[in-house]
Amino acid sequence: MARLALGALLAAALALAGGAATPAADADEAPALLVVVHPGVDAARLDRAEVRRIYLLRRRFWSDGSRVTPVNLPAASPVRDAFSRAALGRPARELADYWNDLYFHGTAPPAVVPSERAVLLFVARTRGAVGYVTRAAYDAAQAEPGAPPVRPVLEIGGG
Amino acid sequence: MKPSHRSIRRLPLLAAACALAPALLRAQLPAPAVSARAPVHVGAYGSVALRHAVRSDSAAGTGLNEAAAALLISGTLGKLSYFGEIEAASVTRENWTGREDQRWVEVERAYGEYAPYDALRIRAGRFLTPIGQWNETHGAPLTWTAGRPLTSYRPFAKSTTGLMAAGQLPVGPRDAGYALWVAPFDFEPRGEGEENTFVRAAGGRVAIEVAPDLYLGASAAGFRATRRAGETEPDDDGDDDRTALPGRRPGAVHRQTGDDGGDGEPEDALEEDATARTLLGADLSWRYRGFQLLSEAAWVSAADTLPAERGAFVQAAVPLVRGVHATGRFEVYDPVVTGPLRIWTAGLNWRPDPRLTLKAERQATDRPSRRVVDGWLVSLSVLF
Repeated sequence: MARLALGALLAAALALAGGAATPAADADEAPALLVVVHPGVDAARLDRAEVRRIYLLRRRFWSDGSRVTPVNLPAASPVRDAFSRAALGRPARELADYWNDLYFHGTAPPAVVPSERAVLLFVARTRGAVGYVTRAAYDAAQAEPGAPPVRPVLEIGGG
Repeated sequence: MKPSHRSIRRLPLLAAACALAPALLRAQLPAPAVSARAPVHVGAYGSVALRHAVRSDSAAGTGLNEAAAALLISGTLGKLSYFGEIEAASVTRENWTGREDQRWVEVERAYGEYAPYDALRIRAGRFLTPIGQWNETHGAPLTWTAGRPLTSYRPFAKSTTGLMAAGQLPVGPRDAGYALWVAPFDFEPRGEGEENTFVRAAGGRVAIEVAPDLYLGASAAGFRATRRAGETEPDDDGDDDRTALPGRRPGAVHRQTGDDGGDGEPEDALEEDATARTLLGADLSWRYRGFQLLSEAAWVSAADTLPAERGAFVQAAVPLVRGVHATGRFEVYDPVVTGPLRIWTAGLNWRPDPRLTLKAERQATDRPSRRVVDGWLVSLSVLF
C-alpha cells in the first residue's frame, strides 16, 4: 500500500509538472536598462558590481550612511528578468530562490512595485532608493511635465 | 511491520495536498508581501515528510515528520532589526517495536540586530549557529533533499544563544562575509528537536565568493555540549555502540538521561561531559545555470583525546525540465566509536513555484539507524 501511495504521489507530482512551465526570457531581446537613484543619493555613478551587491542585499548603506532601498519589478516581468541576467548574472527565477534564502534569514527581499512608472515614482519619493527601468520608459517619463526627479547612474545593455 | 499505520493512511492526504498546492499558491500567494515601510512582516513555512524503510525490521521503520514555523521579520527600522522563528513539529515513527510520537514547540531564533555598517552587524539573542552553509538555510522549502546530511548538524548545536558580530566586505568585484560568535552561558534552552546544545561555545566563520556564485567557506568553533545519542545506532545488533560525544575520554564523568525506546536500549539519551571540543569545517557551493554543487566537511576533536568525529558530503542538483532537478548526495560520517557510516541519496526535486517544493528520494546506507533510513523519503514544503 505504501508503494502504491508513493507511486500515486510521484504521478501527481509529474502530472503537475506539465503545467508548471515558466516562460523563459529571450536574452536576445534584452532592452537597454537604466539604473536610477533618488536625487539625494550620494553616488554620481554605480558600476555593475555595486548594483549586484545592492540587489543581492549585501550593500545596505550609501557612503553617507543612509539606507539603500532597492526596488524590484514583479517576478514575472521580462524587464526584471533582463535586469537579473545582465546585472546580477542569474535569471529572475533563480534569484527568487535567493530571496527565499534571505527571507529565511530574516531579510525581506526588495520591495516590488507593479510597473516601470511605479519604479520611477518610488525612487523619486523614497530617500536612498534605487531602481531600474528600460531606457524607453525613462525617456517617456522624462518627456512628460512633472517627470519624477530620478537620476540615472548606470546604463546596461541595449548596444 | 504492519502496513496499516497512521502515517501510511495520511499518504492520500499528502498526495491531494501536492495536487492542490500549486493552484492554491498561484491564486493566493504572491511573492512574500513586502512593503519597505511596514514595521513587521509575518511569514511562515511548513513541511510534511514521509519516510519508509525498505527493511521491514528497520529501526527507522516508517515515519512522518510534520513541521510548521512562524517567522517574524522586522520592517525598516533604520539600523535596528529583529527576527524570530518559532517552530512546532511532530515526529511519528513506527516499526516493529511499536509507534512513537514526539511533539514539540521551540524557539529556533529570536534576536535583535544593530547594523551600523555593511561591514558590521551586531546580533544578540538566539540565532542559527554559523557553521557550514546548510545549517543557516536548513528550512525545508530551501533545501534540495528531504533528508539532511549528518555533517550539517550532528557535530554541533543548530541554534546558539549569545552574541554575534558579522558583516560583508567587498573583495574586488565580489564579496566576503564573516561571523564571530560567542555563547557564554552555562545553560541553553533545549528543544525536543535539538540533537546538541552548547554549554559555552565560541566560533567564527568566513565565506568568500571566489568566482561568480562560487563560494568557499571555513568555520571553526570551540565548545562544550550536551548531545542526544542514538543518531547512528545500528538497527540490527544489541551492542551499546551508540554515538558518543566526540573525543569523550573513556573514563570521563558523564551522565545519560532518557527513555527506554522500547527495545531495552535507552534511546535519545542525553550525554553530557565537560570535555572541551574543537570543530573545524570547510564548505563549498557553486551555482551555474541551474546546477548547484554543495559540499561540506566537519572535523571535531577533543583537546586531549582521539579519535575525532568527522563527516563530509558532496551534493549536486542538476536541472532537468520545468523546475525539476535531479539530486544526488554522498556522505561519509565517522562517529567516535563505530566505524564510518556511508549514505547515498538520489532523487528528484520539483519546484513548481519558488515557494513550493516537492521532493522524492531514495536513500541508502550501509548502517541503517533510527534516523538514517535505508529507504524512501518524500516531502512537501511551502514557504509563505
